Amino acid sequence: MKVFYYCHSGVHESVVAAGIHLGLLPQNNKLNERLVLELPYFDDRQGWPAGTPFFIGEDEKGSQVYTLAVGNERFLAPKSIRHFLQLFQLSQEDVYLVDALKYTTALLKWGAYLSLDLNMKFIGRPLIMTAIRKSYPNYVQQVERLKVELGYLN
Amino acid sequence: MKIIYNCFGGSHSSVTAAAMHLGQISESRIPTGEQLTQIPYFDTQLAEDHGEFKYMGDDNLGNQIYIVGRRNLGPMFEPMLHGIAKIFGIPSDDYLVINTMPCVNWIMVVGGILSRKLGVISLGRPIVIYGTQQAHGNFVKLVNRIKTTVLPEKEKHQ
Repeated sequence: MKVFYYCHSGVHESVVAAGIHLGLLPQNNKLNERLVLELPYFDDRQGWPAGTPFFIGEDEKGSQVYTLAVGNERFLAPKSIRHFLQLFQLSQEDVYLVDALKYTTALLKWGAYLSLDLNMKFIGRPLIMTAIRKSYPNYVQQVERLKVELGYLN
Repeated sequence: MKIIYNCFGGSHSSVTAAAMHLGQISESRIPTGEQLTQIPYFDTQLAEDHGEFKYMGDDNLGNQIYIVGRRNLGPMFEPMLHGIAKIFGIPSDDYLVINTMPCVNWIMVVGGILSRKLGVISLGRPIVIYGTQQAHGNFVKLVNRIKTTVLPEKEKHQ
């Protein structure tokens, strides 16, 4: 199975959700900033252009977990990915595209803009962390719901 | 190979470039308004159609030509498709993604917004047709570059 978490930048909410999915972050509704900063690609595209899917890791059942930037096209991007796969007659049964933009806030958007586009991490990062801390329980729940859907949890 | 012409709404520049690639409109003569409106999908796609790859035809080399409106995905669209292709094992020689937005002039933008976004077709369509005719040279350059440089280079890699 392949799971794609997508958000505005592909390196913030989606990476946090992927981190929760993979057990790299605690699932107890409390954000651990140090662990978030240690996540691969968090707040850093490592020179790749926006839109590139980033492989974050493999979960307990062997599914690959990726993140993806979609800008403000949260409905269009998954649609075009599915159509693209259809062109090549690839099965989409085990492809999950998960909207990690659902719980985003203006604060996070601004933080991401300052940190990534203007490279002012010293202002951007605290804003991002505050925003993520607020929505963290939502991400935990979202990942739980997905794992139920995937048949991991009962 | 699948050649994917993409632009904002998948209605004007991608459709025109694809039609020229397929020989449905001439490279040497500026198309008339009637010729343009006869192209499938020209000035017809709506927001619900965005993100869907529409088949336009096969060219004389056997490539399948598609168009798609990818809206604000803009610069993210190509890296996204390349990444997805890599993950799913689609060889990079099997597809080509071409952004047709550089061909677009401001007249096409104004006409496109009027006709597609605001739905004022009676006003927007003549404007977008005039804009497309004005931008004809841009499309000729783009399609020529694809046919004479990009495609032969891709063939060499195969």
